[in-house]
Amino acid sequence: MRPSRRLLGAAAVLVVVVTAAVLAWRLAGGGDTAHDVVARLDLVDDGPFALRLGGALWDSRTLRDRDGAPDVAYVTGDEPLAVDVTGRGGHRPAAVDLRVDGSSAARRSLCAGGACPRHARITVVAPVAERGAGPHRVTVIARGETGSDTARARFDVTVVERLPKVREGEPVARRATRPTRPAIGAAERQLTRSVIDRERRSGVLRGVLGRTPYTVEAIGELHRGAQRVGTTILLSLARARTGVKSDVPGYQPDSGPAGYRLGVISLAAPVVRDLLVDVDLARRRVIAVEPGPGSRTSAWDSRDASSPTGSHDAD
Amino acid sequence: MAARALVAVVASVAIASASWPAAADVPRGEPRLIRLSDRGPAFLAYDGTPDFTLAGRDWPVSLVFVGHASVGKVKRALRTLGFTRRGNLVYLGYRVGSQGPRFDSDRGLKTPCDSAGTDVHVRLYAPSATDRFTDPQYGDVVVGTTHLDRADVCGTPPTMFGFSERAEDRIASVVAARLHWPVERDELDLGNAEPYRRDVADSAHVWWSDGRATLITVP
Repeated sequence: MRPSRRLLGAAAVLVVVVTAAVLAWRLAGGGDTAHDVVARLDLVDDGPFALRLGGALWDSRTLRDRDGAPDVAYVTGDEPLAVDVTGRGGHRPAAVDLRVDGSSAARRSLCAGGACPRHARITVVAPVAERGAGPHRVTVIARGETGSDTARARFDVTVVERLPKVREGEPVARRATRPTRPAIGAAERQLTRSVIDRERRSGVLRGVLGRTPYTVEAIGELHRGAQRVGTTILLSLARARTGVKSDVPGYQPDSGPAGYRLGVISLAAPVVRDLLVDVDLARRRVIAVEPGPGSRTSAWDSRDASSPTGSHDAD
Repeated sequence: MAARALVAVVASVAIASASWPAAADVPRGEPRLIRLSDRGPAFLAYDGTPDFTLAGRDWPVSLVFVGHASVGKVKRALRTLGFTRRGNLVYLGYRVGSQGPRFDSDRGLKTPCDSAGTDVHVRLYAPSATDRFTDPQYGDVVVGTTHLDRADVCGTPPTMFGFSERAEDRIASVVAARLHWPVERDELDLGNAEPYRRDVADSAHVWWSDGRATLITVP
């Protein structure tokens, strides 16, 4: 037993020494390696050449999720790209070409004295920033000795002049006990309710709300930018109203002192369960009435050009 | 009459003294990166355009999936609940470790429109490289925003988007009832409360979120 243990120990030492020697030789530029960089490299093509990419530019590339939606990072300058290429099946890489938006941006020959390596790792700085802000496509092509054997990889980066500023926050709290202060005080709430109750009796809410009991689901501030206009309130009807047809007020934003321009909308709603009502508190008037997300409408027509017909945005 | 006059005066004073961002339809606070735990990844508390500007914010984060969550896993589950349609692309900023900020995008999943022409829209975010955040305290994490869309493509106007608080409640209910995933409503204070309100310049965008996200544990 003792001789065989000694033999195993000697063999282990020999393996360590040889491995260290090979590593030192390769890191010093010997063998087939043109240059070495310390980086995590991802395999991107595996044809006649195994092509791996890494470095800051690669890390900043646009990623895509399973739905194809982008995950974007920003590049502000020319960042390094590590390219690692290994020949397969007797192929040997002769050069690496770098293109930005289809135009040649850099070329590195890998062969020295007529001999091309089996493996090369280089770092190139891709001139993406000089192409200006916006998305750019980077293409890496590894070419073999014959020119017809190639491996290529493409990726996209987004250049900006400067990184967007961001503020840092504290870790979030669980079960926060922060007191919740109502956004609208009692006085404004009472005034809003009094305007609504007046209008449901004999005004613009008579046809759409009438005497139907309601609860206030939410109430908040109505603005025109920095200018406070009044309140906006979401009413939930105790029972749905059906077959509603009524002219209701609506508005368009306006630069005048009120902040809006009033109009009239012809509303037809087979079912009204909830209503958004905007109140100009200073003028004590209802300026908008809209069926909420629980209500069904069949007509919503402006009676004049100044009335809103709902946003044409899509979400 | 005297009482009504007093109410009007108080209301006028409140209106005159209200402070508000000059731009229309923006969050109440400056958007900032937040973390679930000290050493966890950071993400913005609002989605929107791929930047950190106030004006570009769309909806507050109000859903946090933890445990063994991934975007793919949560979306597969939501599809079984009827979230089969897709919306427009929106971004959420995030940062993992010492890396620079990135912006993940998502079209989200939408329910079919109901008889009112309203659907529930949820967008889910995590780094595309891993399909999830990894937080030392919460495990595999996906964050989400949600809101209602009324007359968005279907139904008759008025078109409106928002009511995030209501949408969050609907998601919490359906996930608990049909997926049987543990749901803790309003568990996390993300500091992104948006009181119910709107702006006449963009009245279709209805803010409403209590700033407390529902925590859903994915098995």
